Amino acid sequence: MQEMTELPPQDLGPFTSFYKMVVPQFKFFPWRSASIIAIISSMFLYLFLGATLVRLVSILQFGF
Amino acid sequence: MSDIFWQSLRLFILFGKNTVGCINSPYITYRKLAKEGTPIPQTVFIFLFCLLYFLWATTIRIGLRNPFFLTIKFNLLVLGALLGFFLVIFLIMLLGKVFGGMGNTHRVFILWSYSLLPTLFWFFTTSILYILLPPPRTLSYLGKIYSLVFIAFSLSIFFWKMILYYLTLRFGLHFDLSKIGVATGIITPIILGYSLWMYRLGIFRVPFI
Repeated sequence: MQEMTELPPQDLGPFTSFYKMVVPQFKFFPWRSASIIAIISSMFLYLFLGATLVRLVSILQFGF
Repeated sequence: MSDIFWQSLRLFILFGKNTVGCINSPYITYRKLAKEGTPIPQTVFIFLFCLLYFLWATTIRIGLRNPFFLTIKFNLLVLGALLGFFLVIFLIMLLGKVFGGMGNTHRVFILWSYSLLPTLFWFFTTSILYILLPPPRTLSYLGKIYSLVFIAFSLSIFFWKMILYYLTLRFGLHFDLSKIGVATGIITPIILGYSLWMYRLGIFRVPFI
């Protein structure tokens, strides 16, 4: 509790309410939101990059 | 001897609980980890898993037939990863001093150590997939579906990493969002430079950060 009071509250002006709406999605079990965003982003990436995305995955698979 | 065993077991259970916490509720876990008195020795398990990964990755890449190259590659991976780890901690502490953060090295070390979990998970999974479904991917129907799944998986891990990075700066230095944004703007090009350097040296194709 003491630790929480030490943190400065987030003040983003007009975006503060938006911030307070978005952040709880990532505070507890962030996988749900992260997975949805990741799936939608990967589909958009495929639409934009096409075959390049497949090549990118090959490069990433060699990247370990 | 018995004391060391029970102490190690206690730390391992603590590490396990915090690892599950970093997956399910990273905010609460990082807030707890940031408190004074969190024992640093529990992070030793993260580094042991890193060493295990480097051994595994080197064995897949080089094979067991050439112990000389195996040892060199393993040492290079360890040195490259250690350099990246301490570079980030140094940058975080430096930016903490510059922007008047309230961080201490003990807290930042623990928080950043736990942020290696997504990195480890991605590298382990990718190396296992490399064996099960070796690249390159083709433009076939199945190749495209696999690529989409792999990119979605990688992005999810990347988001997890970003959450832990954000929480490291938030709880490690008590930064607000604007300071985190500025700090990220400074850290990112340096990390990109480090990644390029590691790539040119042939140590990491994807940086182990």
